[in-house]
Amino acid sequence: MTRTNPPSAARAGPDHWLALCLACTVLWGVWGFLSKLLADRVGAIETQLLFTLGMLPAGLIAAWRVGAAALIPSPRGIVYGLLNGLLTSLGTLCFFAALGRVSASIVSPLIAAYPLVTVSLAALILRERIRPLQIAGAVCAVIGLALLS
Amino acid sequence: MNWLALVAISIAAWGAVGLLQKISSNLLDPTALVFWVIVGLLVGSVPLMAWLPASTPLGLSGGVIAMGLLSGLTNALGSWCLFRALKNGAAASIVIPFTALYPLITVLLAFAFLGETLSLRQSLGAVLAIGGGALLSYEPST
Repeated sequence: MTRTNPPSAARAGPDHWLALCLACTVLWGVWGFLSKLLADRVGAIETQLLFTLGMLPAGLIAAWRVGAAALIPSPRGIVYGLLNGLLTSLGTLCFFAALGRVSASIVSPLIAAYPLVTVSLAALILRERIRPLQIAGAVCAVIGLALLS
Repeated sequence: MNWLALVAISIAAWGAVGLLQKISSNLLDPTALVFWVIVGLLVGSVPLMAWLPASTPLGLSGGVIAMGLLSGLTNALGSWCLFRALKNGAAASIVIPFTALYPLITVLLAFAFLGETLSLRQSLGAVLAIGGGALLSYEPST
């Protein structure tokens, strides 16, 4: 789950951004469901290892598509990328472990509030301005977290 | 470990990932970022093999292995669709909050296939948490 913002020309059909956006939402939703199915059958460590193995083809395709020059842009870029992966790995491991203990319909919505941390850290570290819509989102997320937990 | 503590760690880790992605967006091509994230996942996950019971992975059924691989694949494909949507002209301010609604699909699938249910209070909490996450992800294009 990563983000970027390079817009270009719109296209029609299955390559239209809205179709892709819907596909992304459904695929990630299915991922959450499959994670629950796995967590009910095996431990979080097994789930994490299988999940990582399933991600490998994407990593290889990504490497093949961008080429060595873009893959190794700067030592700082690599450190950030790796740190990104390590934190993702910690997050997924705990997500799988939580799914093994409680229902997916409780854990998934709770985890959905993670932008609360991103926005707070961005305000603290990057001095980004928090917008009114984000404040409304934060209030909703905090109430939601309280009601769910 | 208590499940709430696990959820809290997950939220903190993924929240920090969001910040790192902001910081690294000028340093790494998005596809290269996918590569490094997966390398990081490998670095973080492979040592976990030391904690595996002696019976695994031989003790895992084919169905479980297929399901696990499919879970990785669906996640990766979802990310690819997101990148592609952004590349095809989608505004990040619309796409990112929209895709943040994905737990709704998980909840619907869990209701339909696992017979999970939520009380009225929990349902309200789920809607607020997911909706709040989507609103928090909103960033107007500059």
